[in-house]
Amino acid sequence: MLALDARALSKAYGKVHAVQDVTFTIAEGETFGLLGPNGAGKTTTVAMLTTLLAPSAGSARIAGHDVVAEPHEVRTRIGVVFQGPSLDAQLSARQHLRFHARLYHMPRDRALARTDELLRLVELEQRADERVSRLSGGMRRRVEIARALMHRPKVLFLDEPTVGLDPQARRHVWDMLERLQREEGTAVLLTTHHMEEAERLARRVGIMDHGKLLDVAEPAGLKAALGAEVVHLRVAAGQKALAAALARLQGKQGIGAAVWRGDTAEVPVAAADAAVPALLEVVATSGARLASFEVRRPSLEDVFIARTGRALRDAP
Amino acid sequence: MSDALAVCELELTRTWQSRAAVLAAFITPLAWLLLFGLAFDQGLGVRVGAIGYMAFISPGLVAMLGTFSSLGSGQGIGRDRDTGFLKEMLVAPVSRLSLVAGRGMSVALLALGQALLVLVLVALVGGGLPLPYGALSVLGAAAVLGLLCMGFLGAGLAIAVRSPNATTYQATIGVLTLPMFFLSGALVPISKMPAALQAAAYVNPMAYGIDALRTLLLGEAYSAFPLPLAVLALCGFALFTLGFGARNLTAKA
Ligand SMILES: Nc1ncnc2c1ncn2[C@@H]1O[C@H](COP(=O)(O)OP(=O)(O)O)[C@@H](O)[C@H]1O
Ligand SMILES: [Mg+2]
Repeated sequence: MLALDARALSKAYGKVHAVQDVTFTIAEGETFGLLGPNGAGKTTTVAMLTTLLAPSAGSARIAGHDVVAEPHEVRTRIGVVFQGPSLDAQLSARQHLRFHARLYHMPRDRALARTDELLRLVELEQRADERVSRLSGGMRRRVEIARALMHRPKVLFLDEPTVGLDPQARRHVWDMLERLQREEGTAVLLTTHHMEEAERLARRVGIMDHGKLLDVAEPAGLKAALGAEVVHLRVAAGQKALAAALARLQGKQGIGAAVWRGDTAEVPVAAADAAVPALLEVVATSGARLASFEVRRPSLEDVFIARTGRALRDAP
Repeated sequence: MSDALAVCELELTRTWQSRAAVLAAFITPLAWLLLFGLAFDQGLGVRVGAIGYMAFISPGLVAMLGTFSSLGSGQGIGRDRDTGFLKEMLVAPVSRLSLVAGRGMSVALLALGQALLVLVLVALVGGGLPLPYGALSVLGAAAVLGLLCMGFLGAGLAIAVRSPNATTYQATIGVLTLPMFFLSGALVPISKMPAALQAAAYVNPMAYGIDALRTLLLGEAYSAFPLPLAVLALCGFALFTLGFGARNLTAKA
């Protein structure tokens, strides 16, 4: 059974189409990334999938249960880490987990064992009894993640889990999320506007912009769709000879037509490991000298720009 | 039910963790009875009917304490919305009603504790309360107090869900509480108030709560409304405010 199945999900606020016709599925245990700039509609999508917001149109199922018709069934099966903070500053991590266990009707002994297990997973055993107002932003995020996992949800929602964290805290949260992917096997819907995050954590990525899901694929697949890797050869001497040699090489070993930008040849290749030896040989025989040599892989950022015509960072 | 208990337990924990709130909850009744009630009672020798002034105002004080902490708890839901903690509860497999009822149980328990303190103090220094129905007086008063708390919790919640921010909420509550208290008959029998103010008392839910408490704790001679009418008014008030508040309880965008 699919962990999550969203069909033509839409939400309109008056004339604003916050989410439009969004369809995707998540398999059991899979991590799916929704990648898009601020205002793309990620949080609105999460709100509908977590029963907090009624869709204007379309439907969605969590582990087979409809989010509108069976909200109670859905709520017992999901864990949510919201984009904004959701802790009570005066309570401790342990108190948050305890209250959560009560709300989800966990037997007391199971709740206690699970609390210890999760506090270990998020590395907060030492700080578990301090009020969370005394913890750092990254630690509070980890409390929220542990809390969302308490009742062993079928689907975990992570809405921009590392937004607002410094790079070190972000990396720590990533490590922790990778560990929980290995240890918990929960399906995850991760939203982010952070390329590296989606690439590192998600098996499949959906690109979202202006309320629409533009493309869904594996990160590698999305990049392949954009084009192969590109070898950049900056020439110190012998540019003409190299240009002629590269032209002769075209079509062999998956090597495409070189594009010259100033003193740099950009050579698209199907696979760098097969093409690079042939390219280096040609450079040597043509007598050209290289100033620099670089293999560039398109990033998800490049994919995003290719699909939307905008960079993620400066999207409104 | 177990959901409401979980919320109630959490609320009691949070109240207990804020020592100032606990202290205030027990100093306030002491101050009213000993500094205000005693001055009129023994200082000025004021009596109402057959009882001293301190005994006379005690039902009103009990109702006031319950009313104010319930309004405060309703505001607490608004605060949870502002901090985002409310989202954790709204996404849980728990009905909105049990979230509100759990809070209601916690404020009602606190109000009962305060009421007990008042009862004991009046017994020690205020000549005691008549308690015309014996144990039933006490049980009935506890039930009325619980009902009053639910109504004002709902009112606090209703105002909170309608206020864009905490400042608006506090201003609204601030404007309402004192006039409501003085127009409730807590300190002066409704029949002794000027006619225009009496009319205001008739639309004041607090007045019905105090009146029912007076019937039960002091006797019918001290009340303005028949007990069934007062209880009915309180039920209606609680149903309306809780219904309105719970229906409009949503997470902040
Ligand atoms: N309650 C609301 N009323 C009106 N517009 C809203 C509301 N919530 C979100 N929007 C709009 O919907 C769009 C999507 O927002 P959101 O889902 O928060 O995006 P994201 O999480 O991807 O940043 C934005 O244009 C936002 O302004
Ligand atoms: Mg968002």
